[in-house]
Amino acid sequence: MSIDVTVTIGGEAGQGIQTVGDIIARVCHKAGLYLLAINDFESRIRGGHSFLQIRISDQPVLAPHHKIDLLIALNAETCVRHKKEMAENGLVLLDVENDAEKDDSKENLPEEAREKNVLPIAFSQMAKDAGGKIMTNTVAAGACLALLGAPFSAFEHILKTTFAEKEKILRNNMIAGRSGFDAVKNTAFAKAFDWPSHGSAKGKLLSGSQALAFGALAADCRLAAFYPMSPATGIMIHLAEFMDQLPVLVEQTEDEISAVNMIIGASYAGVRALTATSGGGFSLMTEGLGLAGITETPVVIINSQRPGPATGLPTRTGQGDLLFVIHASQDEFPRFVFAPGSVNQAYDTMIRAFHLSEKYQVPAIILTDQYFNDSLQMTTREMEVPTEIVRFITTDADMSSPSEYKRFAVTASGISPRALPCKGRALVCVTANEHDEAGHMSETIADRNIMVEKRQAKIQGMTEEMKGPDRYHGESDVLVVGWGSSAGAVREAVDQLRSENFNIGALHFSDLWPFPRKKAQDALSGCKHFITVEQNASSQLGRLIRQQTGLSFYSAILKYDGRPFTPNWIAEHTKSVLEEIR
Amino acid sequence: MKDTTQYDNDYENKWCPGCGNFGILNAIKKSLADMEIAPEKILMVSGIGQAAKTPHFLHCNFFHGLHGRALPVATGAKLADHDLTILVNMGDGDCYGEGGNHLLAALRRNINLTLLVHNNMVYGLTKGQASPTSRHGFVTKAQPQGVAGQASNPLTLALSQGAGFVARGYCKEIEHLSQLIRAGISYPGFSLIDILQVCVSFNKENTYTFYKDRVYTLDKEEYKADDLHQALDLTMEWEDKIPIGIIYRKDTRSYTDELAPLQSGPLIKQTYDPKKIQKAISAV
Repeated sequence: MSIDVTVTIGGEAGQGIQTVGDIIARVCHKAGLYLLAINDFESRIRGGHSFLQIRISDQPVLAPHHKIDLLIALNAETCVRHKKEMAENGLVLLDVENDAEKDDSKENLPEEAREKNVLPIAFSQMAKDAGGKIMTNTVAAGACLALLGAPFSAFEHILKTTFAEKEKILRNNMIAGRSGFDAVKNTAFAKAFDWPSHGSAKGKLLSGSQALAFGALAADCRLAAFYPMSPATGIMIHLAEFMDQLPVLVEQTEDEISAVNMIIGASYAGVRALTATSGGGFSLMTEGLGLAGITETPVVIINSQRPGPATGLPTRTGQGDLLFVIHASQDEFPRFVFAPGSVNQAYDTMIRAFHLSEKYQVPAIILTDQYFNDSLQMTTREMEVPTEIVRFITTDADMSSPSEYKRFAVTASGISPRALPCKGRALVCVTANEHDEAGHMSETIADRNIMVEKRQAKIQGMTEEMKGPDRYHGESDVLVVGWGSSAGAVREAVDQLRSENFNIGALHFSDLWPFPRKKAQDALSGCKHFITVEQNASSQLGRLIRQQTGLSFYSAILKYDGRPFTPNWIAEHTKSVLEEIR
Repeated sequence: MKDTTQYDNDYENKWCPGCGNFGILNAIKKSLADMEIAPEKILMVSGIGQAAKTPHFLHCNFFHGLHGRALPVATGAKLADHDLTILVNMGDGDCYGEGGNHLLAALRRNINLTLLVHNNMVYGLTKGQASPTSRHGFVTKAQPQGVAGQASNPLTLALSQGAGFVARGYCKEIEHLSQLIRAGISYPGFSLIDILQVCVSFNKENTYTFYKDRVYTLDKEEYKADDLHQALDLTMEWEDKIPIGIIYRKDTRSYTDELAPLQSGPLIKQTYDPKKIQKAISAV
């Protein structure tokens, strides 16, 4: 790729980092560039340190970069915090008051930020001059875009669409933007590039949360019940945006226990229903998960992981819940577990999860994480809405004798015909107790055995539905194996290593339970060694693979600091392992 | 008298002989028969406990869920299809203990569900521990020195939370109770009917004799149930006289009338329109 620039905007929460980032992202997107943006913030509304990092390229980018080319520092602390990540020719613009009397502009800088690559720019002063400090963000965005070599017209266009209906605000922002743009006119920036002159957006720019919400809508989800919890809340906020135009209701509940029980009630009554939470909320939902299991009620639950246990790191990312969600709730019952690796896959997975959950009458769990939900990614693919939704529901018309309908009738597949309550003469009787075929409580040995075996019988069909891992140079001697949101970072790491002539490929698992044992064995059988890459402390996928296939990972590259993977980090750690193998 | 046998089923009843729940079961059947609601048009939702077994002994649709969680399940079903007639059966431990937060939320939402709490002031299924409504000093094997805390007063609580329909019935007054249930089902919002239920096995204090001497029926002609302060006073009567009847009722709109996506009909009856969804997604 000829263009690959990383811009970071940092400062305190509440300073408007998001706004600067949004403007830059939209200008780049509109110009036909590819980008990926990550959000890094603390669990607080004001103060502290937050940053937004945007990687811009003329080729699709799949993960954040480990070096910063241009740092927009809204406070001095940002310079100090990111000093080590600065690229060799990187530049820092720091917002400080400029005193023209000082001979050397560096004297304007606070002592801790007096590095040779730090430039003082009076963003807030320029904003005040243009009409208000609130426009500091516009000034900063202008300076950043100018350094990247963007034409002012591209910036102007985005400002116009942002403030279309507010003439005075637009005028002031244009002045503010211009002053930021002009302030760096004579500053050279090594990573400036030629902008596509008549570029057009290469695709849709959307967050992981949005992709999940869109997928739910396309899957005909009608009720989404939730209790607010980072980083899952965004999914529900995006769904709620459609409440005035589509038949979808987003209901905030009194707690997560209510949320899961509510979607079970809604699904029993006949609509597709969803909840989304993080590990702590999922812990509260585990009894409800079992209720969905024993009552064979289809539901979809998204667990957007963050590091734990308990409250852990509320605004950070992790992959520590894989084995938890596979085993959550007492005793045994079938369930699906998926972990999409891209926004496209997340959209598709939502549709599949609802479909399979209803087909097999089991709960489906989708694992994402903070990095995935909160990062902005590009998709160049049209998000197609299915023309038809198959509901796997039976009615009186399908029955020879509706009055004898039995909700849990034994079948070879384990799947009983599913009728809905109050829709005909067939009574739909369901209980959380062990039961007979009619849905009445039963403690007989025969009923217990029959029902356990009936539920377990579904696993065979479910397993056949599961996809094996995505293979990337899968014929290689060594394979790096990951799951969920790390797909992009792993792939770029492999590219980097292959460019250095390592014989290496990757496997990415998105379908995790029931584990696609045979397909996993096939994908792993050709390599000499495989190395797992995960964001937990014990290689949960590695343990699962070993348990299910008998194949053991050579080594596990594990990260549990709550921060997202970068391709370089994975590549460097993989290299150490490769040296060991030699 | 309408035919109540249509709600009978041949599933073996599992309550103790003499249990107050039988009266409640009969009152439910009577009110449904009087309202001419066919068995297949009823959805009963319950939690866990002796009270929560009620739906098994009726010919109807039911969802017998988890301890304390009947209200969220019922709320989900109602949000999915607000044409459904849903009755919720819970016990005092189930509703006022394990499910307390859900009761508060149901009162706040004012969703059109009829909640029957079989209040026997003791845990029956787990064999005789104190419940949230057991009186101070009530002795059980788990509380051998007597309950140290005070009994909660669910009806006062409900009124203080803005409940629109609050009533108390008695398991022995079947005709009266069936009228309360009818009124609850007809009410457009959330209705709470707390039912004094005798547990013949584990509560030797709140017996049929105890209630016989105390229970009196509110006179519908004299007591209009539209004054909140008067209602609050009534909910606090207990020691010598215990009122039964509709304690408070106010005009209301159901929660489902307030929600925008439900205004074009129940969610389940709305159509899947892929073109509209595609357009909505593409517009973002």
